Amino acid sequence: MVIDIKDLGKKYRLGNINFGSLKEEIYSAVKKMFKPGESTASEKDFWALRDFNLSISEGEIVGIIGKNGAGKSTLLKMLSRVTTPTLGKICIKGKVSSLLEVGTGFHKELTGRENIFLNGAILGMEKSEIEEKLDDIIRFAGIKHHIDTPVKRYSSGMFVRLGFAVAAHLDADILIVDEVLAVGDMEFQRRAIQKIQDVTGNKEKTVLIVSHNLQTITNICSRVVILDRGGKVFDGGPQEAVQTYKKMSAGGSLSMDQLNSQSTGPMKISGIDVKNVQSNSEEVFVGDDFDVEVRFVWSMANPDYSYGNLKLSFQIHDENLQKLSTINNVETGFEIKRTLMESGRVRCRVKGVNFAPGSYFISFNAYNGNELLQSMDGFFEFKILARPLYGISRFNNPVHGQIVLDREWQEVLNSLK
Amino acid sequence: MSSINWDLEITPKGFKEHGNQRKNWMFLILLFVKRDIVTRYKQNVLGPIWFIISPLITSAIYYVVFFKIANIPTESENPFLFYVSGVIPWQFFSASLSTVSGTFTNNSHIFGKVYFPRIITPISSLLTQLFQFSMQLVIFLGIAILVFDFSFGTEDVLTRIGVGLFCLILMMLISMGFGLMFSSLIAKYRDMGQVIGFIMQLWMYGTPIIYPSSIVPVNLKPIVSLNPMVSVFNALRYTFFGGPWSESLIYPVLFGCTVGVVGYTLFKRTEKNFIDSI
Repeated sequence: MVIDIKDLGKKYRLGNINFGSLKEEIYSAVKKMFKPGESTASEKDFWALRDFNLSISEGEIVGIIGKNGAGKSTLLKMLSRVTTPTLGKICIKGKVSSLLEVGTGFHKELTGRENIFLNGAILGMEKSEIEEKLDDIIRFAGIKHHIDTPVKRYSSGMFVRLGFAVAAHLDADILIVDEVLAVGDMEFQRRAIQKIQDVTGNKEKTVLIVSHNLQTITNICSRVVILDRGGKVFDGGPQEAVQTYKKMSAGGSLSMDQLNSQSTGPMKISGIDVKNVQSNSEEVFVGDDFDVEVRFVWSMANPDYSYGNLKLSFQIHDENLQKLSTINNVETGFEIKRTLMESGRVRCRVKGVNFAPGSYFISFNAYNGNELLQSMDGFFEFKILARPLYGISRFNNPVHGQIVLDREWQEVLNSLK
Repeated sequence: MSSINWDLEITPKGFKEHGNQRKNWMFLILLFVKRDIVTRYKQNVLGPIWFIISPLITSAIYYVVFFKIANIPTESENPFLFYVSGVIPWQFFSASLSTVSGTFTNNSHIFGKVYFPRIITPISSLLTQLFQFSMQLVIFLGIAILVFDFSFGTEDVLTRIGVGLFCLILMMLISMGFGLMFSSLIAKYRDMGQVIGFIMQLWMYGTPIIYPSSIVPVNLKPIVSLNPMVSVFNALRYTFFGGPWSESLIYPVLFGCTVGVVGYTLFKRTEKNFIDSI
């Protein structure tokens, strides 16, 4: 066993810290002096993680998934020693490195080479170790010609590659990785995953990885833990985990609670529908145009609330919850007029879709300017049904991929002389 | 499973590292110092010349305002050098205190993502200031000797250098202790950041920088002597200009040790969970 987590708990205090909290603190300190032992728990306390137990053996690659607010990042922060637990204990055997972000501490005025040293040292590498690996790091990042250029002139891709390259060369027995794989282009992600697999393949290294990407989890993890509301709800193999997770989050009918998970503003979503444009039914066949309709209610609780530009954005995911596309009204210049009606509906007609038959999942966010009004917790599932299209009568999803392309075959004959 | 020899234990009280988990962080300290020095001047046209110009301009202003206009005596054969000899150490002291007090707020992006002993950051800030101070000191001595043809005197040179070094250590201790105390306060109550500017200004006027200690009225002396920096700056003036000096440094030493311990304790307490409140 290399990691042993016992009864771990983390409590946060909600609300702003201001003069009121200073007053409260003095008050509770005085109270404690006179009545020791009396609990000063307040309603503002919130347990991000509670009674969490986990033992990890050497060489395991453990994936952690869960919705926003399930406690994933809290767990990682405690494992990485960025913050301390409120209760419980974590024991670790071996050298541990954690990677919550790539390029931590990069300074834009310094060159790539200088930043390799700085970032490496922040991550705990020794000078000799960095010098030894310098060439490998530069090669892995693929920025040989720009290594003595200040990183402020780097493209965001180069920046991320350099950051990951340093991290990938950490010599640790245990690697704790946050969503860092979500950055960079596809090619780089592939290499990053490859690199992590190399890391675990050669030596008996242990990896703990948090990801929203089920594909990543199923590809590289030997064990998956699902977190929900601060507790462990599943611990087992990756295939079962994906099934469990989908059951947890998917479903045609979402509760109001799930629809309005991060309600900060006056907007409540009352429903989402996907309908076939032509038949006006819920049966959508491959190649059909369909409408995504969002219904919402405005609460009049706060008349002073000011509205900027409303942005509705929905994401379509495949069965592995891999994001396929994001659609929002701002990018096409469509303005949602917020009149003082009590309820509204916004419909988006999605045209020229060529998703293959199968299940798809929609998630949804609403913004007022930059402020998040709503973030749907969970997914709305809809199906694309099979019918002959582009001359294909049988679809072999998911083996053939998620997208069907119109095609025309031709045989080009070389004239033989 | 108590039979396993854990290398690292994370508990609500903090961390316990065993065996080979301990690292030598000196390299990181040096890189932070280098980063701060290099980046501070990289984008400026005049670059590192600024840290010479800044105390000279301040001293020139003091010379005009306090010496020429307000007629405050300096009891020194060269009033301008008298001001410079106060301004340079004070800027070191005050800049160290301010940067150390911003430790949590200015580094929250790094502290939120990766662990290293947090005390590394204020130590690096202090060393950066120390580097700058040494450069300024060299320039000051150069200007005094070459431009003003000023002789610093030859009597008790070794004692004076010793007293000067001791004062430097005291300034580092007090600025570090206070800075650490304030860093914890500012991490929790942001307004304290504003307060520190006023405190430093007030503190400067309560320290013999623009005036010699000897002109402080007798009835104010008890209040002024509460300020530990008074004896430190008197000792520094002795280092630079020689002359009679018989003041005890016991008070600033005790003061420095107290704020050092209090500051470090508060800092250690804050570093555990401060990231939760940003």
